Amino acid sequence: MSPALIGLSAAMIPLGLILSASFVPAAVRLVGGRNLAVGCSLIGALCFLGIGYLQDWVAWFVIRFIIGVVINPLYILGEVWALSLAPPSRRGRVMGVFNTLMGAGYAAGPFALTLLGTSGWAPFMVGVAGFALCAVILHAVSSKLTGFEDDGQPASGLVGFARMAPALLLAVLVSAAVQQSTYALVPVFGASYGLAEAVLASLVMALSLGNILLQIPLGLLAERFGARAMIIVCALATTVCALLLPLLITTPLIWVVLLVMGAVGYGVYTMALVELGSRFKGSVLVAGNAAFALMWGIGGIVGPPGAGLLMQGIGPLGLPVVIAGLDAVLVMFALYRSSVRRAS
Amino acid sequence: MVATGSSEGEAGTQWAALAGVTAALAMFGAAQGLSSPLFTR
Repeated sequence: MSPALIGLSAAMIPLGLILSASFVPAAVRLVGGRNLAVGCSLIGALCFLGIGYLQDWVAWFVIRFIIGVVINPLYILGEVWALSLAPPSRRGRVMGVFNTLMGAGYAAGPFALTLLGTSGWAPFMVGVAGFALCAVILHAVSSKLTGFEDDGQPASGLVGFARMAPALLLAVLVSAAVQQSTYALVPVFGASYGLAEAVLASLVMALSLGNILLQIPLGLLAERFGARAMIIVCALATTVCALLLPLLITTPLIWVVLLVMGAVGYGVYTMALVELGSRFKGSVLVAGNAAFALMWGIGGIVGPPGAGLLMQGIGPLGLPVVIAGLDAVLVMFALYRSSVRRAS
Repeated sequence: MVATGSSEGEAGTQWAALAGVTAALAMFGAAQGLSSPLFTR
């Protein structure tokens, strides 16, 4: 496949995520969260079988789009269930553990490929097994995962939720744009400062490690100081890290900066999730989480090309400028919303 | 939506459900993490 086709194929999953987000709350009401999640897991397993069987790039486009559609309810319901099952006093650490394990699982996928290789049926069967196990486990714990489909709250669409919690949605948008721009472009940034190729791959690994290891401490801080305050702290810390990038990129301190940046950049999202769970319940929580998924998809599609364009225009400094700028806007808007909430 | 009872048994079931959901989503995360490098090979 050409690079352009690879890029287009990769865009099929986010496209499926964005287009399906609005329909998830209605689907939950229609068939129930448990049935939807188990059904989507099984369709995901079938998609992996289809991709292994068909070996045809046109079919892969369609199947990747379907994967984007069916993983959305799994993301949304998984987070909704975790938020709802967590005792309120421990919600921060629970979401920290949840996101750490999700991140570790996500990192385990490519690692499995290095062991299994990419030819033959083995890697596809691992994907099938992952989705099938997900369905089996969800079915096994299903008795605790029901009850919010008919909670009597008025149906809240994405626009209605955006009116209730615009700062949370901006936090998700910024977190997605910053995280995905950083992961995609930090090697380009490092290369422009003359770093060796082997070091460039390690830059992304340091970001991932920080993301995986530090979500639990951030969750504990959210329990102590409140998630809303921690969104601002994480956004400020991300801004500082971005400004330090050009100053420290050629020094050993860059590893500390990247670890922290990986943690706080995604931490904005984890903190927004904790705040979502403490403010909303039941079907409104589902609608809010669907709005989160939509914002994450948009941030992921808009962020990297936008940062890339700025880097093309003004050089490597375009990356820290975009990151610091987005997080500064988030801090200002979150402070403004806090003052409005206090006044009302 | 979920049990809010105070008994230890209910709390245990709630933690078990939470562990189940987390495990299920980690499995799904691994499958999802596999997809990008696998489908663009």
